[in-house]
Amino acid sequence: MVILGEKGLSGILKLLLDLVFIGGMGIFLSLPWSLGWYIDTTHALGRENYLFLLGFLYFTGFFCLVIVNEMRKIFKTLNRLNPFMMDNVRSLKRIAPSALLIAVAYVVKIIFYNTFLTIIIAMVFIIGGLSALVLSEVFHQAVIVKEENDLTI
Amino acid sequence: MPIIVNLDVMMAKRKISSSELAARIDITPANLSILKNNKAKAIRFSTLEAICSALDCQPGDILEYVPDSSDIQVASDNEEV
Repeated sequence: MVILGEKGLSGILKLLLDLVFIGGMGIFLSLPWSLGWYIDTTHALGRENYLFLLGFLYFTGFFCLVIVNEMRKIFKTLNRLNPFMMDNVRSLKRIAPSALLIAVAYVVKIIFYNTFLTIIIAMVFIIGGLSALVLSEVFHQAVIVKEENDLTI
Repeated sequence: MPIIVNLDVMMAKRKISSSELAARIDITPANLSILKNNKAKAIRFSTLEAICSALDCQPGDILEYVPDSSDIQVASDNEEV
């Protein structure tokens, strides 16, 4: 099975991320209506939580879209079979604070509206953000080695 | 970088063009250009061997050590100590 390239696994994932980004953008823009519709349809949450959830979803949704967009950029370079470049280091450095800010928002949600799933998501984003920071340094080292190798004749 | 590649001098002496040398030593003209313009960070022994063989010369004819001004300053400071 081909992993890298347009027709490989990375190509399929890039397409999936494109769909997630477009879908996410649609939900983000229609949040005031879609959240109201969700609350009215499921009755899982009361109307009194509407404003808090709206602010919470706008905040986390924005940074989620940033993460998905940066991942799309990384996968685009993977499809070109050239992942070790400074742009990817910068993308990972942008993903890290975005993920950590989402984690902070979920920690705030734990205080006000705690659920078991909220704790799990907060932990996932903390680990994800820190991993992105480490990966950015790994990519940075790889870029240095690649440049050295490219300039060895 | 204090190591200077004097490849173009040797190529002029042997009257050989860049493209011809690149073909003889089996590297791309782009890589040969990097080498000629002192942009390379390192040179493989195999490449050096191929260049010396193609130009019938010694590595010292191609590579030259020219100390940086900062290196000269450090050396003179050490002598004073």
